[in-house]
Amino acid sequence: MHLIPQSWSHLHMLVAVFPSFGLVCVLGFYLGGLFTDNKGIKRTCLVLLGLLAVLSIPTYLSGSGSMAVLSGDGDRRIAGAPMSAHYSWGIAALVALVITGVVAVVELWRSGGIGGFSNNMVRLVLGLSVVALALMIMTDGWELMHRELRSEVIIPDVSTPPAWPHVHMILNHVPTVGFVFALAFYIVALVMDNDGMKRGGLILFIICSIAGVPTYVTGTASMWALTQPPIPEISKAVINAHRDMALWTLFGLGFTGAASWLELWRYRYFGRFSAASLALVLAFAVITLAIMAETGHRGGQINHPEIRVATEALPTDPTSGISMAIESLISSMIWFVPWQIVHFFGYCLIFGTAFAVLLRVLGLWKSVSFAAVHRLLLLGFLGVLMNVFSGMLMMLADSYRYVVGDTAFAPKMALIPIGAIAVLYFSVSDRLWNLKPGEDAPAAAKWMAVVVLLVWAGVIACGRLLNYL
Amino acid sequence: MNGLQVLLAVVATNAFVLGAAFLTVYHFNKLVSRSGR
Repeated sequence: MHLIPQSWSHLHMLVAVFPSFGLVCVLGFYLGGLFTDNKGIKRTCLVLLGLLAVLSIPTYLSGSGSMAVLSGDGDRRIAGAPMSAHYSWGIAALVALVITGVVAVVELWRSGGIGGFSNNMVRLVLGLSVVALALMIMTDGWELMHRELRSEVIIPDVSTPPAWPHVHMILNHVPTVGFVFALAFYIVALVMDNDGMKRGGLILFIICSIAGVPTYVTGTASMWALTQPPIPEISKAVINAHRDMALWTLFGLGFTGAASWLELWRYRYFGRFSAASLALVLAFAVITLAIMAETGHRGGQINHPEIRVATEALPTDPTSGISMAIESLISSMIWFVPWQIVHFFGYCLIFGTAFAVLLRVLGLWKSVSFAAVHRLLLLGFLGVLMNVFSGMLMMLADSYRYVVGDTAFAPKMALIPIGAIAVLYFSVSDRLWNLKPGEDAPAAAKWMAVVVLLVWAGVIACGRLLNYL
Repeated sequence: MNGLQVLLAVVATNAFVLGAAFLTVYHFNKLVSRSGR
């Protein structure tokens, strides 16, 4: 069982992501709770902060154990100075986290668990969380075992910039650790039967799914950074095993995100959730999390020999796997061209929907209610699904050329999540939903509509400029 | 492979994807129409 660590280093890698990236997630929920003044969200976040503070104990113990083992056996992969800096900043961050957790629990106890929170205490918890997060960032543990991030051998037109693996290592925690918290939050919402929290959980699943797209793409770029030119000790076969699971994770995220969005969209019309749909989302999320755990484990094996165990056989054939099979299939014209045309139809749906929303929100279609435009969002959503799938296939046809060799690809990938999250705003905004014919949209929605249009225009332009920049 | 084969592949793939999208829109549109909004 991969989730059961058999060394201090493995335990530290598994546990330490929660007080760091987990804190980002909890802070996000907490800000949402403060913004919407939802007592259920605030109470859940205070409990989560208390739990994160408890996790500082195994984080500290596993970190100390790893340090003793890694510096004691003469492993020269880790220099002494970065390890000491990581340790010092880590201690400071964990102390800040413990103080935050204690204050959160005290406030929970003081309010009697019924949610009559003091504004000053709520703000104090927020401030302490921000300080703990800043210290976590300074702790900078992810670079310790990754020499490729400090690579000095750059071959022009061959080497992939080390920024790609760096971005991938940071970004991959958003859909993974974020997903764990989203699932925990969602289960609490179902148990408490709190509609506000259910909506929050569904939105979090969608955000994690959106973040899965750039994570997958930066992962492909990282593969090239580690294999071209090759780095000793890095196996292409192990990378491919990780890529295969990453592909299944992308599908899992797609199903979870799609089911979540459809339920949020449907909820608008009836003002209540369907129990069957919520259960379906839960089932997708649990399956996706299991796939994701295996993906993360295989990803860790790429560059962490210290977590490998003798009984675990690593793949050795660099040409096997579903990703390699899709790559060879989709590079043939008879497969590539049909999916490229699907991609163009997808853009038509997205851009058409974004334009209709823009017209209503800016007041050019004032005679219709926003609810009428809201129905069209389904078309845009289907366009996004079509393009994520077809785009993934097209990228696999010639991934080095797209992700490394093409200047227009990175901005396109950066714009897609912005555009998708902006569309999510139009799907869930209460103020817009209540906009009747003849009424003006709020100024924030007008700005958001302009952002959506510009971002998706940028995505289309960058897509068309591929091969030319 | 000749041009006709590519054309048939384009028609088949896009008919399948767009057909599935059309059925989804039809089904969900019908579903939410019951709400009266």
